Amino acid sequence: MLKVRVIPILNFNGFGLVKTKQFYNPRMVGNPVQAARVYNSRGVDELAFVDINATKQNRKINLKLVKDVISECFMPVSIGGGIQSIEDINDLLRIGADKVIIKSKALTSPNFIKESVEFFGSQCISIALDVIREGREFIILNDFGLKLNALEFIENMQKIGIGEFVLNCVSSDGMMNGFDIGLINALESSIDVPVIAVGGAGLPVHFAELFKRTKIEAVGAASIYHFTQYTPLDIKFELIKNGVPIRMTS
Amino acid sequence: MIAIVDYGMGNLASVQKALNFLKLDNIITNDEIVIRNATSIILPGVGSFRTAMENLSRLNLISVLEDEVLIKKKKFLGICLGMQLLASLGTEQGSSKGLGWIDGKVIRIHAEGKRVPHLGWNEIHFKRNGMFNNMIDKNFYFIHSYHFVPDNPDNIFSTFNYGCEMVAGVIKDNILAFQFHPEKSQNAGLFLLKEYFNSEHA
Amino acid sequence: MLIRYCNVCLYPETKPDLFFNEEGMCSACVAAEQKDKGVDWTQREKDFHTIINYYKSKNPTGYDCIVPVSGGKDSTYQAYFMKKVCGLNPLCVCFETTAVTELGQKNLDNLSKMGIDVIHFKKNYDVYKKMVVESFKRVGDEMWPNHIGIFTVPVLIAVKFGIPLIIWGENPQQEYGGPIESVQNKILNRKWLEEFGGLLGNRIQDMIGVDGITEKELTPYFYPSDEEIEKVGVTGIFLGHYFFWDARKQLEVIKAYGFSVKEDGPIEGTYTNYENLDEKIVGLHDYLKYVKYGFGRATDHACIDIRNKRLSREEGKKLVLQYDGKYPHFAIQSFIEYGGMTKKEIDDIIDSYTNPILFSPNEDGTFQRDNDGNLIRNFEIN
Repeated sequence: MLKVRVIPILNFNGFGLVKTKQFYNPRMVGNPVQAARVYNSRGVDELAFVDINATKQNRKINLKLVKDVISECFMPVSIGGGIQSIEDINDLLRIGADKVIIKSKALTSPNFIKESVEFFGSQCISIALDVIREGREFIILNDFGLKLNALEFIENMQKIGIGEFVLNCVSSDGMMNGFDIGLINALESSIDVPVIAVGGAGLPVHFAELFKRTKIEAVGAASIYHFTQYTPLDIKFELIKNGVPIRMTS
Repeated sequence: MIAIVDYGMGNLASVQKALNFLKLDNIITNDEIVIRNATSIILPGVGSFRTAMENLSRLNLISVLEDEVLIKKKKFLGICLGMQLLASLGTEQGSSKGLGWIDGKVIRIHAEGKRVPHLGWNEIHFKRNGMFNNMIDKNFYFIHSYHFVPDNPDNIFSTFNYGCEMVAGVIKDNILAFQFHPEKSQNAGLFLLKEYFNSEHA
Repeated sequence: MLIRYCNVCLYPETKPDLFFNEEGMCSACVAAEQKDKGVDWTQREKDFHTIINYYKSKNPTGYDCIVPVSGGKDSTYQAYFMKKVCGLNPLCVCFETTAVTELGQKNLDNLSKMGIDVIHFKKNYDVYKKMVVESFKRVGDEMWPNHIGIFTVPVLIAVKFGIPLIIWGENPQQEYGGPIESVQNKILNRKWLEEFGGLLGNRIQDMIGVDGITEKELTPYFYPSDEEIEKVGVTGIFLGHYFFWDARKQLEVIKAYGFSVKEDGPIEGTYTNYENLDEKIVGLHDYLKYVKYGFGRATDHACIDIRNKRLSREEGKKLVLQYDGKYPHFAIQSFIEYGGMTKKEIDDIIDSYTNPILFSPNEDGTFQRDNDGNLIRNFEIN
């Protein structure tokens, strides 16, 4: 049967890896090549590498750096950051990315997403959503002043036929207090494609809780690996203890 | 020399990286002469069935591959879309003809209560003994929304379970192809590639 | 390539764990200002004596505290302070460094001559060396196992010997900048080690199986369990939280007790001659920092001297331009002898960690260098 995926997230700011708290205050944590090597040596299920400043700074992600990171990895890698055109996606796939993660462009131009899916196939296109609560609604946090209801956006993207969602729970980001189960469940029930839930992991038991209380099959995390003693293997041991189907590498 | 066929679809760099790691001589190419001089051929692929067939046709690769694989019986490995193209028919974006090397259809995954695409690590079960007998770790990385249904069950080499049993690998003489990505499946995948290309099979 | 620098010192925004405030001042300078104006040092000193009297009273015989030492100036000062100033009976614990220099050995021997018991932990040479080589390749820091050793072995001894109090030196987040919450840290515990110990994402359990290393062979590197720590009541405190930390002043004090500095010039990568004297390959560790983040040890020292008003920012900049990030020939040679890798293998790995945005790469993946083999910066120190 399909195993759940435990995915380290590398956030890049243009120079080096950073980690935010509730999407604020990025803290420089290190060098992407070293992180890729460490995770590859651990046999993680997948890796996601996102340049969180590319769109903001109106530039492209550095392809040499991405190539260096990918060259360290014999597992699947998703790359995101500043993707604006078919050429951008093609550049990334050609240097070895398995999936691309698109955020800003999906908000401003759903047609582009449609085009990408037609060109490259749905499985390479992952859409990232940064979700917050506003009253009783879930909306998508964005820099464009757009008021976007998360559920509506999800439905539109699914109609277009994308491959996967990366669901970022903004208020849990970097807090290491556990996943936002309520938010995840509220959105996940409307999603038919694979979803990676991100935001809030601080202890292995948080992961077990996530898989017990939601129907999520993939989880992303960063702070727990940067700042605590826990490695993805510790997470996997906890999941096995709780009967969650997970791949163990020797 | 293993020829990795470049027809504009997908992740060649990763396949090459895996082969380089295993110290297996390889070259990425769509040149007829290079392909004819190769000892083995890999057809990778990610993306649309229809576009893939169009590209293969436009690059005049179909007859070259048929020559080298079906007639000269060179060792062949198909990966993901490269496996699906072996079918007679694909059904993505309407019907399109495949290479027809292994009779069968490629249809969309419909698994009750399961998400599509089938994305992540899943365990495969071999339907035949012989090759890969001593494989211990059978978890491989899948990422696809369509699956291959061969007409003849003898062509089924391995299966996976996702709501129901589906084909993970097909085989016919010197042709072997997998739905999953061995080049992305870490140690399990490297083991598979090493066994296949170092073996005397086909 | 435009990098932002602190307005007061010379730390760049590329430095891990560094933050800037609204006035463009980095967190290290903010902490330094607080050190000068915002801290009641008299009260802190009182707190310190309350703490050590508490532990002294619990234990009328035996050792009063553990002082982790390296033979370097900071830990020698900590040992001196606890013995000579506070009148305690400290037990010094030294986790042997990778490749000790003659000067380092001399300073280490000097500790016991100061009238103190020292446990010198000599680690399994083979296992440690395997970790040195692997961590150089995996995280670009050949000193990685040393970081684990120096923070874990003293705690292990504390637990086994039943000595609860551990006296560490400076709080690095206070002296070199860190997240606001961490600057006022007075405790060094497991959580601190994982977050600030320089582990670069790698953990000790990741080393099991590398080159055949077994879990048993890694015994001294595994942090004691929470239960063991709680049973003894182990508490590690930063001396730098209770007393104004001034490395240069402290150096002058310990010189009188036999501490020696390098007489024939500065160590590699900086302009000072009194730090990191004990380790032959530390120049490689410092250089790797430079290629990853664009600043090296000379910058660290210049910033401290600027904050302590010994240098102006302009003077500091001159020293940084002159000494920072030079190719560490001595350390590389020592590493070749120690680790058995060739110079090309070592250089290739260093290149893989060199930030291609800060330093210009050539087509073939190498980097542009001057005639002495030093990297050419793609950015200006402003």
